[in-house]
Amino acid sequence: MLVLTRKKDEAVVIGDDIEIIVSEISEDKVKIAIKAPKSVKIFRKELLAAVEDENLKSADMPDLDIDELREAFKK
Amino acid sequence: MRSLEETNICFILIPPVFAYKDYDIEISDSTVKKLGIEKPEDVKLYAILTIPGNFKDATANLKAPIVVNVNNNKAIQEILDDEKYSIRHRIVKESDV
Repeated sequence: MLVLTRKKDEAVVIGDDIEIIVSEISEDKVKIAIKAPKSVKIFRKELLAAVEDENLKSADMPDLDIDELREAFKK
Repeated sequence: MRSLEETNICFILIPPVFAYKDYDIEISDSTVKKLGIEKPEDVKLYAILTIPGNFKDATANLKAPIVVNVNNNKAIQEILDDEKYSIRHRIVKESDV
């Protein structure tokens, strides 16, 4: 892993078309600005983890009774 | 929706509008490209349900819907950066219980 030190308003460039700028620094937070093509997906990592976690829960419902579910949806 | 490789893995899906009347999302360029979507009618959206024991506690994942291109049956789970939609959106209102 590459680790760089940057000051406020300094940037790093990744590849040809991604730029990450440090726009604000406070005690335990940094605000970063990201310039990237629209095709590049950018997510907060914890969101991806939360989705993955929820998918696992959704795929693991051993007690689910499909007929009961169908009944419930008729209402 | 059932896994072709692991047939014991399946997801229960619902149309997101069942859970959220005005469900409205923007599909990312990369998903449009990967699924070969050409027009809005190509797209069907589904939300994955999680049912933890009791049906009244069921939630729909509105933050990460399944986007399907009905013409080629390719699908992707799209993750939305939208505060409006929750990963665990309750589908049974307290008043209905």
